Amino acid sequence: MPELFEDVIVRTIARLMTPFIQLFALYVLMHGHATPGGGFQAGVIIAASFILVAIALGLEEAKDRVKQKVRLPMESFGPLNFVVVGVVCMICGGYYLQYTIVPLLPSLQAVGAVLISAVEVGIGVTVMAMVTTIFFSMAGGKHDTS
Amino acid sequence: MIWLLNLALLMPLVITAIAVVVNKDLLAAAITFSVYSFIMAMLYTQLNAPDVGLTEAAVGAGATTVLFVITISKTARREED
Repeated sequence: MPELFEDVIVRTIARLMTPFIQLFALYVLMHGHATPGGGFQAGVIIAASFILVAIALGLEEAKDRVKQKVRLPMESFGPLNFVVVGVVCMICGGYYLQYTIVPLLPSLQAVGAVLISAVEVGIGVTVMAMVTTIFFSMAGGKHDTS
Repeated sequence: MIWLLNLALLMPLVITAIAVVVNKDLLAAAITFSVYSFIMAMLYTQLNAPDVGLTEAAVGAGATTVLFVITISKTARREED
């Protein structure tokens, strides 16, 4: 990345906007089973908020906030979560990812909504970590692999 | 009356698409491509595909534009003939 653009308005607006962008991403994530949106969109929106932090406050600041040792487990969390939810459905006697078989709540639709949301959270975490990592590794130096 | 909205969206879509192809300044082309993605997101929403529209707005207009700008900052800004 080129040198940091020092401007108090840009920095303040970026600081103020970041939590609202992440709140909107959480809304998109948690309403994904009923309304437009879902894990992928929410993950990309959270990653966009980190990209905004990197553009406005500098790449090192953003790398401090989302460290590589935090991102690496998050990238693997989504597929693992997917497999765990699917196998839990198989343990309860259904097919892979047959949500309604799990005796978690009395209402079948509520069980489906909860388990779809659980899968979506995993997808969102993975997409967020992956897009942030792609951005960091492209924006960093030539031999910077973080 | 929906054709009026479609016309107002499709005309800039064609113009921005041609502008992306013919522009020799790659940074301007990347920004124009972000505008193209936003118009495309509005068109998807108008076609009752809000899911695709949300993805296009987040990925097409947000993430890929940043990656294009990073790539241009690491290579050359002007296209050579």
